[in-house]
Amino acid sequence: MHAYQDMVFSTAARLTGNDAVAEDLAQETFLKAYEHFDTLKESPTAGGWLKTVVTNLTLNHLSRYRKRWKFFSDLRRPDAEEDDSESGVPEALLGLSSPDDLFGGVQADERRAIVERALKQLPEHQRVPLVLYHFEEMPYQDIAQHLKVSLPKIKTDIMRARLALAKVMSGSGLTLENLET
Amino acid sequence: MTEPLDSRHPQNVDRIERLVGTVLKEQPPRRAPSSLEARVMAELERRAALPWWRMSFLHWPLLVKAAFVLGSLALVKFALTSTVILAGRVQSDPVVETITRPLGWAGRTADSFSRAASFCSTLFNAIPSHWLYIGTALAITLYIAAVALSATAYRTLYANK
Repeated sequence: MHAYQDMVFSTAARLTGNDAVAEDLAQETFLKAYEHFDTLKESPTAGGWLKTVVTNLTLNHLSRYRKRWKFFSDLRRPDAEEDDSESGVPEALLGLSSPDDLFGGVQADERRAIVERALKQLPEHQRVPLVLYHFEEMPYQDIAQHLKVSLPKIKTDIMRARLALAKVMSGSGLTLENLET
Repeated sequence: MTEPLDSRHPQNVDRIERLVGTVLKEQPPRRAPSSLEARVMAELERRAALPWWRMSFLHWPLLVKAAFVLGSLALVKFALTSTVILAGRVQSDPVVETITRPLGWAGRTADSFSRAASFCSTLFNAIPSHWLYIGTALAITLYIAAVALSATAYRTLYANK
């Protein structure tokens, strides 16, 4: 459990954006793992099994929550935020080629915290596909199937999430000077 | 300040994807709370301490599972047989009287409900149909208004906090 608990918790926390819920989901994942302890204890694919289980449990949790609050959540979807993320991206940001350029002199620990905070700030319909694509390395088609959303919408949501994330990250850690170097 | 560029341009999309992808790939796993392991162990101990009859059917001992299935089948057979036998014998008056006497109050209650239903049905038939349409439309409008009101209240009082 020691070897995998960070990975399991991270997956749930990044998908839900909520640490308390992520801890519950991680607990449920390990309880399921203990039910299959005999087959998993020697298995080289135990990590993959745990990742699949925690991802599915989290997506199920989000889907249940989404159905329950769909009507109300749809009403409060901030359109302004969407418009903002599509409006454009600073030229300086596009000139960057590596995370070191993006973060300039920001310390590694602080950089990680900024990224995690930025991920949490994304709306769920952008955060979940982004995390599945970049952290879980799931192809667009699979994400669309899992989330029961059209492929073009998934691509748009991920693109907007990247833009929003890049803006938050650059806003948190950059000055114009180190953006342009 | 530099001018914002079109974020939908394929070249720009690719550059942002690479940049954000690299940042996210470098992100180490988040540290799990120290309470997680203790919670899992405590839950495992709690589950292990449960007697078998409080666990799901899958965790019951094999013999008990078999006995339960056989018992259920026997019960179904007994219920079906009893129904058939009773249906044949229940024609005799003493049996009917013995069964129905303690249930007299139930019969009277059912009779009252039946009269009330009949009265409502007569009343319903007496109402002109256009009144019914107006009433239905009003009910639907009120329902939609109630949902809209609660959605607005949710947005104002809870979601925007």
